[in-house]
Amino acid sequence: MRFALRRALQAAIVIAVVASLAFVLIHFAPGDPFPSALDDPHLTDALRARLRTQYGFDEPIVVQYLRFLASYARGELGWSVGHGRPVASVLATVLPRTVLLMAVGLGLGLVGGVALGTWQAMHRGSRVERLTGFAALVVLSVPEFLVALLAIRLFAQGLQWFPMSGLVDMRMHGSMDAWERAGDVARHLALPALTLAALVAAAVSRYHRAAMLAVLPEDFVRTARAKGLTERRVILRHVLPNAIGTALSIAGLLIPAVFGGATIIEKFFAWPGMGLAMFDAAVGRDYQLVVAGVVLSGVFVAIGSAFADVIAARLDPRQARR
Amino acid sequence: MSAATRRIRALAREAFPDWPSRVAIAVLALVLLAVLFAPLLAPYDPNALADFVRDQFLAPSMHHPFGTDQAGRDVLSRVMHGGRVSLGVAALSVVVSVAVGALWGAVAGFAGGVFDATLMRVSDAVLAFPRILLLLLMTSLVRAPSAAGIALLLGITSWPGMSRLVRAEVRHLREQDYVLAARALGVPWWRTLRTHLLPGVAPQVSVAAALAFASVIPLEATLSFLGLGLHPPAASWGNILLDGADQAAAHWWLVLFPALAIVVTVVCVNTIGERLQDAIDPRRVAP
Repeated sequence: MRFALRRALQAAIVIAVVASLAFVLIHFAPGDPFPSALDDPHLTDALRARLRTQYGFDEPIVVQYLRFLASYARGELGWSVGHGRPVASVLATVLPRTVLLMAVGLGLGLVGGVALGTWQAMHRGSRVERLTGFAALVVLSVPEFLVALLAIRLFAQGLQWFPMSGLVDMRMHGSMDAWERAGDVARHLALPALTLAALVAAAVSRYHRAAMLAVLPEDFVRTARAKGLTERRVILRHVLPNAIGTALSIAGLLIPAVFGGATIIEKFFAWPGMGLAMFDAAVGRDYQLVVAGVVLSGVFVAIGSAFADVIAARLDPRQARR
Repeated sequence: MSAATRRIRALAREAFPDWPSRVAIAVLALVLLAVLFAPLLAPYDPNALADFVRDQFLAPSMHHPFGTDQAGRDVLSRVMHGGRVSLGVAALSVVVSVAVGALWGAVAGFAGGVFDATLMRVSDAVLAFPRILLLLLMTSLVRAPSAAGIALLLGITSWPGMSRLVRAEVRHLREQDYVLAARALGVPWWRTLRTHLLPGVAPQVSVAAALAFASVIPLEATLSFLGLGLHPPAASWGNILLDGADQAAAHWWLVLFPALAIVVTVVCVNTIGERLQDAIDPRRVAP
């Protein structure tokens, strides 16, 4: 429990540092944190100066920083220039979509990766084992956008199993009932989620296989075999629980990567979630939205890795003492 | 045969015991040669605007093994020259990442205490930034970045991982007898760091650098494909992919060959990097 508390405190510190770094980054950027409003050529210098005063950009950077922290502490995240509404409201729209994509993609990928890694550890040296291992390496070596484009070409355009892109069917969605709508979203979710799952499974399987192989020579495995347990039972009840920690912490560490990967995947599948919103905000210099997105993903990452560590410590108390 | 050559040979045998890793080395050497000597070896000028009515979209043939693109340019020559940009940017970014990360991690691991905790929380925070988002933001701020600029951006977004690795290794080495002896003798901390600790982390860092090199190639390609990387006529593999993406359905060779160049190179570097990792770290189970 003390370990969990310490880890939570660390996570809180990391989140605070992320927020500060985001603030610094935006203030290093050329112009004011309101570029499109203040770059407008129709603005006179006097009006521009008044706007700067109004939004407080003329105050010392320390004051601006403290006010930034204070407003975040109050839950005020600023105004999205790109969307023309409060940042919080933009995030409230896009976040659930990304959580859906990430939950399904990461979940399927984790289960698939653990299953593949376990199977590979049980069939070490076989032809299929080597082939699947190589396939995982290739999947990890291909740029994510190529995987996405290939998936679209193959399964959306070629086989036409799934819709190509988007969240819903624009024409039909309005006239559907609740169940049909859920099905519509699910069909649109399938391809980006499966692509994400394939990437996660490839990464997880490699680490999980190595973790399984590291546990196999342990004494308790020999004991379990000596008791006359079936190989299947030895692997599933004795080896797997002791090796699963690696896969879980990899999944925790993958959250920032998945967030990044999800940006690319959301972009290419036009899935209108966090990733796509952040992509547009970064390219379109919608600074306050970018800062909020960065802080939010920092929160995800910090909580994710803390969570992974705590679970790993629960499963294997040796971890907590490191 | 000198002792040094023997040792290198023994290491090489241990590191690359199986045929996949040897194939990877051979293929990578071939790619590197073709890319490095592209100005001498490439059959055509990669940017020559020839008679594009006659030469446009030629399918792969003896004259143009990878075909030609919409401007009649030879795709093989473009891929060879593009590799100079892709691999050059990747290598430079790894140098930046290793320099910053190794210094940061070494100082943190060596100093310990509050200083260590501070440095590591900062590195955690940078690690918590979604890297692609940071890159998108920075590349959109810099209009038409140069190859060196892109390499710098890629490097300064990847050092935290390197710093954690170096820190862990330095903390381990710091407690070794020979380091304690050096400190007891009053050797200044920076010299201890330089002569006793950094050489000790060199193997881990070089493996991590190889794997970072492999991971940064697709990332650069992604940026270029999104139009946020280099600007024409400078072309990396990502730019060539972008150029061909529109006509991919009718003219497959425009995307297949640059994509293959990326994937083959990255697979080879990853294979070699992992074998080296197994060779220097006996705790890991060899595949």
